[in-house]
Amino acid sequence: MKQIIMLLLFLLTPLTVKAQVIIQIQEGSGQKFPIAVPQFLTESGSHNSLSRKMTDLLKKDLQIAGYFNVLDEDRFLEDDKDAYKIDFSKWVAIEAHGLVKGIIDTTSGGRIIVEFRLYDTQTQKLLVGKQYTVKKDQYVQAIHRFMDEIMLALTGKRGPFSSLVAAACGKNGARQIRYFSIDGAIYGGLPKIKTNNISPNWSPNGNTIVFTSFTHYFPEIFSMSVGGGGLKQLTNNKSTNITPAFSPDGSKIAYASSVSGDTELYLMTPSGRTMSRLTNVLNIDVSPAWSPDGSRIVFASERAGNLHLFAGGLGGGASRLTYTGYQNDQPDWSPDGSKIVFTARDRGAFDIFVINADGSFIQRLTRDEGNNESPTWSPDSRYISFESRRSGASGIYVMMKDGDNQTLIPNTGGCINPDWGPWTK
Amino acid sequence: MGTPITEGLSMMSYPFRKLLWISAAAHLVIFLLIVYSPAFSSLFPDSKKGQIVVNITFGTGENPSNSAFKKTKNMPYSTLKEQKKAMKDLTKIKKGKDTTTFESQNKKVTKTQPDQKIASTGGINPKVKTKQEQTIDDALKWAQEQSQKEKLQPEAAQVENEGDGQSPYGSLDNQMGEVDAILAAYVGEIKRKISNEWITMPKEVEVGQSLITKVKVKINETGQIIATILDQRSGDLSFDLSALRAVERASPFPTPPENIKEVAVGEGFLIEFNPQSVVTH
Repeated sequence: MKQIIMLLLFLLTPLTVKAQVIIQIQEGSGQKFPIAVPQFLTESGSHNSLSRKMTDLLKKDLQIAGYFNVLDEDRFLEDDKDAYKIDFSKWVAIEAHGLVKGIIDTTSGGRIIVEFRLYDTQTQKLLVGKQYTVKKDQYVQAIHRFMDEIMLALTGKRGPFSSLVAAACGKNGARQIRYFSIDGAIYGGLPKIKTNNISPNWSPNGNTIVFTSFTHYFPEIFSMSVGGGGLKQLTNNKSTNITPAFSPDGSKIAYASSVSGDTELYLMTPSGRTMSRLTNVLNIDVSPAWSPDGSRIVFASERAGNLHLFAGGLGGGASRLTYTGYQNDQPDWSPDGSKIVFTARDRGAFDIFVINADGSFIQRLTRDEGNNESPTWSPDSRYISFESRRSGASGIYVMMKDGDNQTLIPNTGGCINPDWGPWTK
Repeated sequence: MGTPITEGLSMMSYPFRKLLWISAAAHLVIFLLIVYSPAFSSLFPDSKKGQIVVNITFGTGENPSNSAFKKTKNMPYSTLKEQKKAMKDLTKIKKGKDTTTFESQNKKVTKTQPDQKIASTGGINPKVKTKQEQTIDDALKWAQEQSQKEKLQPEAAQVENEGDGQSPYGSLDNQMGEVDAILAAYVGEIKRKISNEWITMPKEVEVGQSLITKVKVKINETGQIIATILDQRSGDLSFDLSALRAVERASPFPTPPENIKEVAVGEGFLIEFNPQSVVTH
C-alpha cells in the first residue's frame, strides 16, 4: 500500500520541471571573416599576368571592405592547379570560412569571359557564382561587380565597389574634377577647365557632375556629363555660388549663393533656372545635403552664432541639430536615412563626426590625424570617404562607418572635396 | 497497520476491492496520459518555472541604449573605434593571464566551508558575505576598475538620457540575490567564451526584424560539450553555421556551480544568437 502511494508520488513529481539554462548572445567577437582567394586560373589551369592582376585586385578590395581577413597564400594547403576540383577539407583545415575561385577565359576579339565563385567551406555550398564578359582592359569592372556580389551574399546588402568618388585634384587654386574607384583601379576625370574647379557633386543617375568653377573669375556653378561633354553654366550672377547638391530624384539642385548680399540656400533646376530661395535668416547658410527621400535638407548655418547644423523642409523653417561644437560644417546624409556625417573643428583640428538624423548622439570618427574634412557616404551607407591631410598633402581616404579601416585611395594626393557617386548600373 | 484507508479496505469484500483497484489503476493511467501529453504542456507555453534566463548585455553595439553612454559637454574625445576596442578588451578572456574569471576564483573556494550566512553569534548577519558572493563582488569590482582605468568609456555628445558611463558589466549597486549572482557570473563566463569565438559578417535585415538562431547544447559534468543541435534556424545558412561554430569552439564550458549543476548537465543549454551589434538596417 505504502509502495503504491510512493509510486504515485514518484510518477507525478517531474511533471512541471522542464528546465534549461538559456543564454542570449548579442555580440560577436569582432574578428574578421577569414576568406581565402587562391590565384585565379585560365581554363587550362595556368596563370598569366592578367589572372594575377585580377586576383590581387579582388584581394585588395576585400581588405578595403574591412570585414574580411584575407588569408595568406603561404598557408594554403591545396594546390591551385585545378579551377574546378576543390578539396574543402584543406580549406576548413586552415580555418577559411569562405573560398573564392576564379576562371578567366580569353576569347577572340580582345574580350574575356570570367567566372567567379564564392563557397562556404563548411557546407561546401556555392554561395554565389557569376560570369562576366568584358573587354580585356575592363577586367576591373568585373572584379568590382563580383566583390559587390560577395558582400551581398554574406551580408544581405550589395557592396559599394561598383561606384566612383569624384574629387577636386591638383595644386591649390588650380584643381580639376577627377573621379576614381575606391581601390584606385579606375581613374578618370572631366576635361580640363581653367582655372580652378572644386566641390563636385554627382547626379543620382551618375551621368552628370555639378561643381563650382572659377573659370569666369567669380565662383559659379557648372554641370558637365561624366563623359566630358555638355559643359553648361548654371548660375550667372557674379557672386559666390558654391556647394551644389543634386536632389535624390535628380530634379533639383540645392546650392549656396551670396547673390542677395548674404550667403543663402537656393533651389534650381538641372538646367540652371532658379526655382526658389530656401533660407531667409541673416547669416551664412551653406553646404546643403539632401535626405534620401528628398523632403529635407541639412545644412550649416551661423544663424545661432557659430557654424551649426540645421535641417528643414523645402517650404522653409529649419530646426537645429547640433548644440555642441563651434564649427560644424559639410554635412552629408546617409542613403539609408539614419545618420548625418559632418566635419567639426575641435581641439584645434578638423575631424569627422557622425550624428543620428534626429539630432541625438554625436560620435567622433577621427582624431589626432591632421585635418579631416568633406565626408561623403557610400551608396550602401556602410562607408565614408573623406579628405585628410594627415600625411601633409591632402588625400582621399575611405573608412567604415564606425571609423575603422581608414585607407588611402591610391593616386589621390592633392585631392579635396570628395563626393561618392551612385552604383554604376 | 492502522491507517483509515487500509482498515477501510480490509473491511470490504474481495470482488469489490478488486474493482476498486482496477478503477484506481485506470484513473491513474488516464491521468498520466493526459498530463504527459503534448497538448497539456502546450497549455503552459511560457512557463518560466524551472527556466533560468539571464540577460546580460555586453558591449555597446550599433544602437546602444542611452544608459551605456556618458554624456559629454563638448565633442567627445574618444573615437567610436577606440570605444569599441576598449569594450572588447574588457570582455576578452586573457587566456591564462586573467586571474579573476569565474573559473579561477571558483578554484580558490573549493575546499572551504559550505556557504554560511549565519554569523557565529547565532543571528543572521547580512554583512557577512559568503566566499562565492565575495568572489563575484571582486570580479565586478575588477571590471569596474578596468573600465575606469581605461578612461575610454563609451561617450557621445547630445545624449538624451545621461548614463553614468559605466561599463555595462553592471555595478556593485545592483541588487542581486545570492543564487542570481553566482548564476550570472557562470553564465557570463560562457557568454564571453562564445562571443569571443563568434565570427560573423554584419547582416542587413528589415527594420524591426532580426536574425535569430538557437543552438541546443549538452555538456557533461566537466563542462565538455557532448552534443549541439540547431534548434531554430534564422533562414541565413552562413549565420546559422557561424553560431554552431562559435558554440563548438567555446568547449569546454566552465564547471557548473553546484546549485545549477543538475539543470546544466541534465537539461543542457539553449544558446540564443540574437545580435544587435551585428545586424544593420
